[in-house]
Amino acid sequence: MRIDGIYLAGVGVHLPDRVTTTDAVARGWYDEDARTGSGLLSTAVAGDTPAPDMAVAAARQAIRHSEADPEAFAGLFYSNVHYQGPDGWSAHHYVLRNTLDQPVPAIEVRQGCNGVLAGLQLGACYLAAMPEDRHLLLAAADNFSTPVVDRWRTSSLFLLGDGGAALVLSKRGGFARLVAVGSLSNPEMEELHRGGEVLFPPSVTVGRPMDLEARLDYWRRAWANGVTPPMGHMGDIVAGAVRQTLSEAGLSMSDIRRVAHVHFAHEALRNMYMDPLDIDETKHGTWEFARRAGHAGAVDAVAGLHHLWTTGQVGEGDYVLLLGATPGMEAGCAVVQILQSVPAELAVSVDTALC
Amino acid sequence: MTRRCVEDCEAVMTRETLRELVAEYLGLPPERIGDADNLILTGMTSMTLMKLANQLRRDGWPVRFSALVRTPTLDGWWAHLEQLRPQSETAPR
Repeated sequence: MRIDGIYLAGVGVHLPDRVTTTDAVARGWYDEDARTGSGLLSTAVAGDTPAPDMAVAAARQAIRHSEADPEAFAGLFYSNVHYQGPDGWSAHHYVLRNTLDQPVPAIEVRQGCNGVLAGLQLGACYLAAMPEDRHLLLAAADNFSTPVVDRWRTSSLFLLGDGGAALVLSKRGGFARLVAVGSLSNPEMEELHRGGEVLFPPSVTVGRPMDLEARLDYWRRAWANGVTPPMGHMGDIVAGAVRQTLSEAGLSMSDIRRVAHVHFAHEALRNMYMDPLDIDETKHGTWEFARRAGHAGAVDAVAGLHHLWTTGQVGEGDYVLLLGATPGMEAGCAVVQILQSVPAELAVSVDTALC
Repeated sequence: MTRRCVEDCEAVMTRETLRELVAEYLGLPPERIGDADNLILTGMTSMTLMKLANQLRRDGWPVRFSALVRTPTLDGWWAHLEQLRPQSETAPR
């Protein structure tokens, strides 16, 4: 989907303190073999800070950066992966109340770890139908420090991290323009993340933890017994989404300066995202940032863009690819072009940003 | 329409070089990989298979991942590679 006249006017990120993987091994939370194999150095852990409060912190930064009047916002789209607070309560209206505090729609855009990229797709269309001076707030946040998931062992593909991120989409201009956005799904792979679990009653309502590795083990056993699993190559979906979106933008991968991707462990990142795009995570990706932040649901791509921009690794004229994915399976991406290099008051050194 | 091998990749790939490649990815000696062995039982995982598919594609073989998943044996994968050879070449190796 090629986009004209929609800009990123503000960006904000809140990442809590990191817990190192060496510390996690020493405490018995993480396995040494997994630590060395993953290449992951730390992950952000929020403790008892509610996820919506991290969304509020990030959104306030983004709104301040945009210098947009709260009364000029047409709404809030809020994305998350994990439980946010009391059942039947609206986390998105809590974020709205504590940021814009305007009588506009607050809508949850729940598409797993691709939520913000889905929000960009829907938000670009939503804003296109609005008057010229309107803005849209996109926010995402998660805190996985709950009893129903073990952030260190739920998946060998990543370590779950906590945090919040936000963007202000605007028709009035900004530090970057949204060039194109798109996604591609393979619905045959929906069954993969069910892993033999029944749909009803939902697992969390009967106290069953979210163990993604156990669900993949279910398919490994079935595969060994001659049952073909509902498994495609995630890289095919990623490459398809990127190829289509770049084509719509009139660009090729060689035009992309950097890629802000999901924060996966090294081998998974390489095999599912980097190799299919024929790029290198250290040269083109955000690996050094990603391996310290953890996989914070829908937050990753915005946090990666924020890191690249505030550290000056991308500047005026550069194209940046935001890349996300979600069980389903679906991959989403957005191409943005930086219009303004980071101003001095927001700039940080790479060393500081990686602490 | 099935995509076919478009470079001279077929000149360097034989059943034995495929066996060696699979063995290398599994960390096993090639003689441990029987033609009809279920490679999932010898340690092949979806992650390793994605890595192997990426390697074969870099080498010029436009393998279909679903075909590799469906028949996880050296025989099955070799048959898939044979389908990808240019149609003019029919001699078995």
